[in-house]
Amino acid sequence: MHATPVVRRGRSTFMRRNARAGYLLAAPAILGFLIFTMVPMVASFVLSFTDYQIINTPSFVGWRNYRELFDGTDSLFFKSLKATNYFVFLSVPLNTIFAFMLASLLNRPIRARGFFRAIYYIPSVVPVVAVTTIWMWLLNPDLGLINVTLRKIGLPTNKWIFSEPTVIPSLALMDLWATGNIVVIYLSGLQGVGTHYYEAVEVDGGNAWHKFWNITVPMMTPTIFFNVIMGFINGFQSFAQAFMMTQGGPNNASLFYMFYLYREAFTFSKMGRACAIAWILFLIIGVLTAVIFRTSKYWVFYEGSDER
Amino acid sequence: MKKLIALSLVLILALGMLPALAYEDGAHLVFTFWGSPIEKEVINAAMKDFEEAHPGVTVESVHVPNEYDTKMQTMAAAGEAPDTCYMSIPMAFAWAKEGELVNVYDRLADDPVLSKDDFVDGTWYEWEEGKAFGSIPAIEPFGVFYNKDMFDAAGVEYPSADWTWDDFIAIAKKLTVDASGKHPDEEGFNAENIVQYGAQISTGATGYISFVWSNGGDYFNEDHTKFALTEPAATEAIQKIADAVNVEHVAPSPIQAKAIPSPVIALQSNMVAMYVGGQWNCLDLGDSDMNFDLVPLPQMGDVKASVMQGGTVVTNANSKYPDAAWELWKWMYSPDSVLNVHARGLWMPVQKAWLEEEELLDKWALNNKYHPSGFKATFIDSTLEYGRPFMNMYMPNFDEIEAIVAPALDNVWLGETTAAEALASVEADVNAILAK
Amino acid sequence: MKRRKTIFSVLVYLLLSLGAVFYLLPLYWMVRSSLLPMAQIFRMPPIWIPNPPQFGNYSQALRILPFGRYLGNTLTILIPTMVGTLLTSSISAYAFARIEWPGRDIWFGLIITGMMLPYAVTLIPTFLGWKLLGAYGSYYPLIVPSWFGGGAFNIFMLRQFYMTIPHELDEAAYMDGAGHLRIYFFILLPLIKSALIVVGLFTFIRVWNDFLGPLVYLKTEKQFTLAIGLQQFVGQYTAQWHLLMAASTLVALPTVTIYLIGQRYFVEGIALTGLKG
Repeated sequence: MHATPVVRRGRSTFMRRNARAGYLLAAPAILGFLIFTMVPMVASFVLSFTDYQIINTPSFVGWRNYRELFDGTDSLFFKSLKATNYFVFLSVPLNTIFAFMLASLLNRPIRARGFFRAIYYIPSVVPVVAVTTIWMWLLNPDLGLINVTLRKIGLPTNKWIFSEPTVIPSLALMDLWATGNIVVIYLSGLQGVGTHYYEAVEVDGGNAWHKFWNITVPMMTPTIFFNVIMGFINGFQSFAQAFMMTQGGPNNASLFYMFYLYREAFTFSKMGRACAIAWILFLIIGVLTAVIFRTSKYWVFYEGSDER
Repeated sequence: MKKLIALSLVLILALGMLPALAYEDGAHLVFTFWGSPIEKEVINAAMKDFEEAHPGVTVESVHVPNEYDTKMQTMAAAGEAPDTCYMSIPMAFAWAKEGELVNVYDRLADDPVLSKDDFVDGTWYEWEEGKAFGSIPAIEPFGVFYNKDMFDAAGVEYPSADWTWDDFIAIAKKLTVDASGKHPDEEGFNAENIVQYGAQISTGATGYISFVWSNGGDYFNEDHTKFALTEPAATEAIQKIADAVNVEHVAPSPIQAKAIPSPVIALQSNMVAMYVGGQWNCLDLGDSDMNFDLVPLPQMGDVKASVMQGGTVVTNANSKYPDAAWELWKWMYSPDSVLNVHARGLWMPVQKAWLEEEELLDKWALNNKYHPSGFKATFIDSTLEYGRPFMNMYMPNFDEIEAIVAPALDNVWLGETTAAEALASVEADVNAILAK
Repeated sequence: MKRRKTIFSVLVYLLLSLGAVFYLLPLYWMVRSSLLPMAQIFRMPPIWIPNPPQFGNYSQALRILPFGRYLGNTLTILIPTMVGTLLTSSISAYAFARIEWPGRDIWFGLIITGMMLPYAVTLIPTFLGWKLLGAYGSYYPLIVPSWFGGGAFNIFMLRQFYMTIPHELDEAAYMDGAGHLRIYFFILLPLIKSALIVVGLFTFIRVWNDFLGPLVYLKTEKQFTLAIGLQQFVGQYTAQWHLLMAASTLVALPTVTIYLIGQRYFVEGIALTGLKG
């Protein structure tokens, strides 16, 4: 498809020019990374081997912070890993598929399309304090509107975020409500799928399903790929729900990793240890994203790919 | 007599009639605090008053509405910690140990107007023998708030100050009603569809500890080396509170209640007749203009005890203006200078004179809608007679222990496990922390 | 065929409308609660229509929240951040997606890893850096980073969008002697307009609702932003739900407006029809 070879005239000059241009144009991002991201990252990595408590002068403790997490003296560490994994592996696939379906529907030439798009997006702009408060009301087992309604129409009720087995699924469900950001990314991706491809399918006598499966999905894989990666990166760092709604409960069932980390860092002033906790998460997310990146060449289709 | 002199001196100082004490001229202090819009308003006004009473001093007062600890930690990391400020207890202990906070005992020993004895005994946060970073400018004991109209409507007598836990449950049953108008002991009562609860009990450690004490138990053993909630007296008390929810059906589960309306709404909208909660609720209840009163906690056993707890205000040991910062510390602990938070029912003063002497009581606790007739017996007398410090006052890493114990209790309040089982399951973890 | 189509579109409407109820309800609840006296918020059976609506909640909320001042402060951060983000993220993403240069994929990978370490542990080192530069207490720490790539999220997203565009376009331009800046600005940027709007929208919402950044970097209350002001209503000891809801509605309103304006452009899409794959 992209066989058109670049004319070989002065290949090396061309490469050199490209290298210069590449570095030049990427410079803001590279500098930004070096200054604003890498320096603090290195600092936190070094601090993870110290007893830093913010107000003291840190001294090195070797692997102690890491060892203490794994030697079983801290029961909460593994609980938080478990709760977070459960949430991430439930909510990321759910969100990815749901948002994609929703975006596909909202991209159809339907009446009142703008109206529907707005409705599905607006929840994502409401401040988190308001969102969490409202959901606390709605999900209240006794007085919440959801259970009151379920009771009225004779359906079984649920304890939602107030019971161990249902808290994570409830939070994942709540996440779907605020999926508008992902939908918007998909929607803007869908604008880039050229209509001529669909026309080609029509010429070949394909139906709506063929169009969706053979054109829309492959053309959208770069966007899907992006949303999956970001879903995992953000999912593992979920915080607000635990911080503002459940405080990690009941019985640590929603003890998100970030909430646990945050408490160690800022409430208990154990910053050195918190750094170790953070770097373990870094490793987990890093390995996972690396795996997804590696597999991407089998399923992500770039029309503008330079792999030729 | 000495007390009276000291007292009048405080008053004179507060009125700004005494030439101010030595403090740095041109001092610029940073003060940080948290709290509701009302607290913010009162504290900001108190800072203005402080500036007026201390010419040459300016105060930058910063209200931090959320993530207070994060803000403090970043300021501290940069060596920009506030001069005087509210502080969460675990952080204050950590800072004090690193020598970052002023030992107020030293200051009080030299202070011409205020002395350690002016404060209620046992309200000092000591990080070492003879070293304290602060007291509790707002003591927040627990008591029972009740909606008198709901009692009247049900034809139930108001509780009396000498009641027991069993009385409490019996009264709560009379005031608990399901959708068909039945009470918990009646045939056909539907616990799944309760429309009015007799009681609501706040189940944080600050809430249940008074009952544990009353029943003869405690959180830690005497020398604070072992977890003691697993002892029968303590376990029984916690079980009884959980049973009020799950067996007697007179109270909403606290985990559900967490999402509901604040206590004032619960009481005002006839959802709950009695609320077992902290002193600070007087503010909201007073503002609601509802017909409420107070009664001391029911006795579960033979021991009389009332919890003394609350946030603290500390002074930075590295302040550029140590004397002015100390003046501000005193200002925050002087009920006269922050009178509105006291008079409006949010804070209870920690200075003894303000709890004992009629004319001072009159300034905040008597004859106003925030402090009904039962207030004095419920909060003031119980604190003075048998107030007992909360565990975080002597156990620096109490919050870490609570991070283990509180989640385990979640399922007790939900009735899914017993107090004995839940507490036994965390005993080893807690003792491991204590052993460190 | 026709009938199946009708059934299908009826089904689509049904699904979307049902979903809309689920999506609207919490928002409706917010606005409803903002117009009720606090005692009525939790009344059972629930009150659906405030009667009479308590508009006084809004004026009360505005007495506590200095909306004008905080709006000004928020915009002081917002406007330069938007410009910086849109400009530098789109340039950098172009370099990562459209130019071949040695080390490109390594740098890209590194930038992505920047998102994987929780902010809680980088906050203090970052803060110390700004303090060292003397910028603590100013708006610079909140604005300047956006001029350096605009964040890994945006770079990554725009890269993905650039990569869906066929190469023939810029190669043709390149042959005609156009430089990278020209290709970026005149050929590719118009093609990813919808993605740029998404970046703008997300940046707007992120800055608008950011609480922790301004709280940590600003020194005095006079500098605070709307997101900080809003947090006042979430008291631990005294909750004023009706005011919280009124203030939240006020704070959300400008963002909703911005979205409604921006959304027109998604619909337009990009005319790629003229290109050949």
